[in-house]
Amino acid sequence: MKTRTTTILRWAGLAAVAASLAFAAAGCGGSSGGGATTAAAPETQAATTAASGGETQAAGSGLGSEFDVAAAGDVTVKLWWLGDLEVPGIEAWMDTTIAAFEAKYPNVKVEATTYDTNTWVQTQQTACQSKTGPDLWYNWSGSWSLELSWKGCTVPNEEVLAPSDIEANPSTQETLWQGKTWDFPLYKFVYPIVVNLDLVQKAGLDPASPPATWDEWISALEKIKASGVTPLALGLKDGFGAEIAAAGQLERQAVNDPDTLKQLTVDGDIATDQGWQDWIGKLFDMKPYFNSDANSVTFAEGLALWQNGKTAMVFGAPGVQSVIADAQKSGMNVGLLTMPAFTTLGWSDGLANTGQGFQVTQWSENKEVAGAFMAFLQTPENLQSLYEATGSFPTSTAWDSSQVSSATDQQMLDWLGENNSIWWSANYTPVDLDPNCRFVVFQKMMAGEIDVQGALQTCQEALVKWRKANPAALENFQSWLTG
Amino acid sequence: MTGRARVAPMPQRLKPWLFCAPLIVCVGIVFLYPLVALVRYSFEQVGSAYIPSTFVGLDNYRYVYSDSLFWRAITNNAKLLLCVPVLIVLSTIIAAVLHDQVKGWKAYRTFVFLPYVLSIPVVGIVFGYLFQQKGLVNSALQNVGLGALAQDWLGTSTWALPTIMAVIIWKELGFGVIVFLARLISVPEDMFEAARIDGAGWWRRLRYVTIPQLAPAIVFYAIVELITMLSWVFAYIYVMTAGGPGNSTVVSEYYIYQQTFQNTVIGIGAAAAVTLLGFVSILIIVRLWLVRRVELLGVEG
Repeated sequence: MKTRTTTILRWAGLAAVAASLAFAAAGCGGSSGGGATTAAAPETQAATTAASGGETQAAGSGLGSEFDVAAAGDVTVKLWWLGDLEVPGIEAWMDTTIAAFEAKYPNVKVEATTYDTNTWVQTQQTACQSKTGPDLWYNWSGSWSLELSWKGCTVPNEEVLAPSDIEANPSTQETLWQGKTWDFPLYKFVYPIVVNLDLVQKAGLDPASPPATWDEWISALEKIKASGVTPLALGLKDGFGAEIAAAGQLERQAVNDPDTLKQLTVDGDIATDQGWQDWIGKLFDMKPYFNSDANSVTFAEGLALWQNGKTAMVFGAPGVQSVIADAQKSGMNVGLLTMPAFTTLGWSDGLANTGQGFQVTQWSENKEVAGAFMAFLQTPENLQSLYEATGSFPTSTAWDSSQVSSATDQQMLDWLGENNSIWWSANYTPVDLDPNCRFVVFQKMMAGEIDVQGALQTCQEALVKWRKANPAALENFQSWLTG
Repeated sequence: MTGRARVAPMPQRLKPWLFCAPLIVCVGIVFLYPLVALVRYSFEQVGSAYIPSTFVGLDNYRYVYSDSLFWRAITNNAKLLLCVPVLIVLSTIIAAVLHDQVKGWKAYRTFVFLPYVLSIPVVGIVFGYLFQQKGLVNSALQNVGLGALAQDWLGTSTWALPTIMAVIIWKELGFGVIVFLARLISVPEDMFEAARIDGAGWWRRLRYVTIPQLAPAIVFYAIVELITMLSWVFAYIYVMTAGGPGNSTVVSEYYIYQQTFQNTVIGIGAAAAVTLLGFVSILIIVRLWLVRRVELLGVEG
């Protein structure tokens, strides 16, 4: 039987939300002067202070791949990451690579710990509050990485890597801020549309002539639907499918370059923005062609519809290469598409991609060794074994992609060869736009509870709310916009 | 000087405090410090180890109270409170039936209580599947010719919250039944027997004997469930709808979670949490007052 104590304990459970933060703050209390800043833009200034960091060697003097790890003494490097949750098969590769690093440098031990995606941001925030945590951690690119850099939790690549390491990795440009890069990507997520060619052919379409215009695209969807097959799989219950469809295919077409999105974040008006009107309008055009139960299935369940042959196409997501490989093993005839361009902006035509990698933390006492380890992960041999183990494309130009034999992989690499800078648009807007704009718009559209104007208004309201709640982050976006 | 210096005896009234001190310190660390920190955060724009937090006065509260999503969350909590009278009525009737020791009542009691011991995530996941648009519930409706009643139960703003409420009632009902049954078993059988001899039927016995005897248990159960609906439904929402579709099932706990962990605006999450703490504290005080009133009435009666 429940007692009064139980009742109070229940309430205490809610208070526990604060408890973890409170204890983390205990570590923060005595050291918050690290930023030594005014209230105006504390995060920016703290990060700037960090960027000038005096603890590490000057850039270019034997860092990263040039660092003499053997002379660093006995060191344990701690790595926190998401492992197979992000890329199936990567944990085994990491174990092997760590073993090789430790064999090469017996004075170094690398301890890798995996965490859950759902609590990852919270884990990082807590570590940063208490200055206790790993020497390097995994992070997504764009604002995901920079949010922590702006809080002063990480150091720029330039403080731990050789210039040649950074130059060989174009995806570092996704986190370019104040002339420095703040995340060292290892592999790319790519976002094609994955097609069951047999179902497309059954609908009377020629896979050799994919739709090149928006009208052709809608016409193709109509034909597939008329053949009795749901054209596109979508799972929105967890919201994830909305971000994948928007940033991967639709929203990106409203973008000329990253500054488009930063500017929108700082002072734009989504409700009157032509690009947003275009992509949300196109989204509503596509509504009849999604599975009608999209709101009651998760992204993974939506993907399973395609895997089970119940839909003709699905939006590719992280790990798409392994999804394709599994489908091919099961006998499916798989092809790829990108969404036909419906604007003429810089990100309208091509394959969206974003590099995922690592950041060295501010409190690490082994920054140079951590940097050297990041560089070691990206030797040509390790990059090739990464591709073989996971199917993911390394971001570094040190990877010899000529060894790729898969037709679908080659297709994606060809698209990337044409334009490697169509990045993940959701990385350049506040995270709030996911739960309060993209998720809401897609879910309400599928439920028939919103129109295009309502959708635009919803997103603008979400943006205005974010600006009001995050004055420091707004200043950081302004700073990011200007350089 | 000879012998040991005399130590003044400790005043008698301080001894209990001395003995309780370790526990008081422990409780202070576990409960009080987080609460104080929570209130402090609610007045700050929380920084990190490398940047100072900024005092922002009531700005976080102003933001929360001007946020339509927060009020939607509170409204959803208020709607969830409608579960409480339903739970009380159903629990009372079922407990009364079981108290009559109908054939197989012990088995029924177990069946009714079983959902209560299942973990919420398991319940949420199972019902999430059952209530999918192409799930078992809609299939069953179609198979018995009631396809017109099929809905996208968790996929539309109209039905998502009522569906979650139904699941909560299904899960929480067993607790009420057991509480009420335990109370009824402790009531002398003579009272029911006397009512029967006086010619009272089942409903009259329920009205004039069972319910008055259940009053303290009903008050207890009602307050516990009210608090549950306000501050213990996060897991149902998180697992079954993640606040969707279109934020239509966001409740105050989920709002706090969104602000604190998704949007990482800890100060705003803390301001919402302090507000919720205020609501629940009032309920706890009401509960204590009501329990005391019922006890007093019992003594006087």
